[in-house]
Amino acid sequence: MQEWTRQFRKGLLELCVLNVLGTSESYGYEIVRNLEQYDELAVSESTLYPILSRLRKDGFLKVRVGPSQSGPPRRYFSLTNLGKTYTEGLNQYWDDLTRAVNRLRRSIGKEIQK
Amino acid sequence: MTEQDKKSIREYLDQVRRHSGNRGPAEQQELVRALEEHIHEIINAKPGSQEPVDVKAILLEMDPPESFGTPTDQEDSERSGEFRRMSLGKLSLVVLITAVTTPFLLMAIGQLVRGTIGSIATVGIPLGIVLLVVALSLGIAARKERAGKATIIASAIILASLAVFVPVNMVFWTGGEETGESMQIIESEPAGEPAQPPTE
Repeated sequence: MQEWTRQFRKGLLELCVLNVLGTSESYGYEIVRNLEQYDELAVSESTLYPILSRLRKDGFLKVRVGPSQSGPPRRYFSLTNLGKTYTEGLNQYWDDLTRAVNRLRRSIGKEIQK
Repeated sequence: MTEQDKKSIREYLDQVRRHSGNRGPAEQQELVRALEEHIHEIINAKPGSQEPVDVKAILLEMDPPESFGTPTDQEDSERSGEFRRMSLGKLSLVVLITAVTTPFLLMAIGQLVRGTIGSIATVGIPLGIVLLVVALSLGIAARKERAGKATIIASAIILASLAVFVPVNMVFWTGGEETGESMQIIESEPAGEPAQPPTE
């Protein structure tokens, strides 16, 4: 169960990060705080930063460096055009998938009732 | 932030760097930079920033460095590579010293045992050249960078010079002995006076 959840979350978190950045640009710490608001989606830095790095490498995210209060400059992530298209595709697939799974569960539930 | 706090952050990031070696240098650097930014964001976000911030507590709340990946053999292989280069370098030096001393040593032995150096020189000098080539190869292998064109050309010139001068030297040594022998013969028969047949 735990392993399945881990694997499932791994892909799902990518979708969530893309959606967070779909509304406005954001920086790492802010994304963590954003996702923390949803218990199931809470993400640690060891999970988030590799995701951000991979998405940027794949051309879905771009980075803008901005000033910070102290410490190193803040890096703001936002979606590229490719990232926007990718996110739309993923959202569509997620909707189709959840609908299909719900339909399946409902139909199996009815068969069990019979 | 105190110096101790900065040191704690550096140590944490160093450990993350060590554990994330399998990600490749660019991603590893990006990760460490992102984490440094993240730590400072937490520090800045702490309410009442006038109070001293407990950096150690922040670092303890963060994911442990091990969670950023497994330590790769990169560091170990770098260390073993360094050790290998050092060993090869030392070995190269030993072989070089042997290469230089062997011909002279063999000549000295030959002189003591047989009273001649010609036959020993024919063995000692080629052996010395072979050892020189081995020392040179080991020296090149011990280099961290690959041997450049200049190194190869310089090495080739040294070897070519040896290949030319050593046979010339050998001829000199051998010729010297022969000249010595012929001089002895001449001394036994003084010049100007023809050899007298035994009078009997």
